Amino acid sequence: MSRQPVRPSRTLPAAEWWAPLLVDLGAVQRGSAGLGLCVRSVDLTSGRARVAVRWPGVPATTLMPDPEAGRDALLQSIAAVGPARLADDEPADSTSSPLAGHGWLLDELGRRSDAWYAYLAEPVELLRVETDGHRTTEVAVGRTSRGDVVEVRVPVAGLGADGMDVGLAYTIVERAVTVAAHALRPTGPVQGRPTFSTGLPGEEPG
Amino acid sequence: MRKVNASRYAVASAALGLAAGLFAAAPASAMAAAPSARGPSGDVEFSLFDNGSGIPRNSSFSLADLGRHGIPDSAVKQLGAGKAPSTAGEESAALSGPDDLVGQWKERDGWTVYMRRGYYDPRRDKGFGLAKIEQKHNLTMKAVRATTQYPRPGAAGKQKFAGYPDTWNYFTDVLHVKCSGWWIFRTCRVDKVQPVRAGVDFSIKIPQLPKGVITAYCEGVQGRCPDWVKNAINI
Repeated sequence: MSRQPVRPSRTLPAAEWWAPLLVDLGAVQRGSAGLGLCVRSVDLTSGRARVAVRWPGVPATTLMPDPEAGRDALLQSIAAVGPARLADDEPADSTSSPLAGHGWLLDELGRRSDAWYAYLAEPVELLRVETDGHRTTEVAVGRTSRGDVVEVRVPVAGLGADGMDVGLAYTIVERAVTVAAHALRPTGPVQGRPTFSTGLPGEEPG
Repeated sequence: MRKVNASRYAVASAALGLAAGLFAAAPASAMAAAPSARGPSGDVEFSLFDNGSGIPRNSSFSLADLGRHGIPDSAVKQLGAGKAPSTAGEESAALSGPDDLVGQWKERDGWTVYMRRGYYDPRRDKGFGLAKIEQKHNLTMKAVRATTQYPRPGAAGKQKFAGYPDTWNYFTDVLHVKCSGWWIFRTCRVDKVQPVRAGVDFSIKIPQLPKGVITAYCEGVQGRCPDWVKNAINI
């Protein structure tokens, strides 16, 4: 018997409930990087998706989209706030801007949600994806049995541009459960749990 | 009723025929009176990809029954003699880059699956394709091919994970079997089941073909799958 998603998607029963939303957000972010759109954060801690979007010089707006409404509906809700469009179907863009890299990462996390429930023995959960829009995106991984959270920092400039980063979702999840204590830095709590920050394997902690 | 009896007779005859054929071909050592632990008597262990042929998981079966599950007679004879069956090796091609194609095949539903050379960087725990599958997860192209060609029946064996482009996971079970007794009449039992999963991207063009197999792994096993998974006798 295979492992099952903690909370399956209605439309993709082997995927987690947030997976279609992240793939669709990835398409909007990649398509709209040149328009200044930054999908600032995707917060899943409440069991509903809260998505904060912003454009340069405009305060962030929080949306609560239906994760399975489809990319057209998602685009419509974002475009009601500011300029946005969908990317082409191929996520393997050659663009290397940080916002395009952030969009690639959203897509990668969404299409490999098996990483969160089947890849490792230790239970983990995706709690939040948050970016500064310039350098890094932080992926908050809840370590369910330990009662804490590890935020894995991912540099986004050039991410996904050459096709060599595919599979990064597995790297992020495994990093969160195997990282040594000395490579963790305390940071602000997520969902009230003790939270630590770290980089990807082979990168400097801090 | 007569039809059922006739059917049973046919099955019994086939089993006897297989046993008789194997018996005639038994090596001299297998006929000797003094068995050895690594010879025709004693314990034998091996593994199989569950190909949907109905290998019993909760009851015992005879080693000779493996012929009904697609295992060649030669392999059954080798197991009966206490030897590991020989399996075909995989050819390696001259390669230059991570996106080089190193294999392609038709999966269960006739879709073409591509395998790329990929890479694996253990320091950064990054990679994809055959290099990651072999070096991180201790699997092989044959194991991935078997996972996509013989996934669990129906939708349980092949599930969509995302569209635009399509990403799918394939699921199969690898069965570890222990047998004890004598020659092909050993009694066998499945003592471990390891689910294996393969993730395949179908539509991304790199440059004109899909990226293909991203990775494959043993569920819930961090890093290397046990050797018996890749050493299954029917892949």
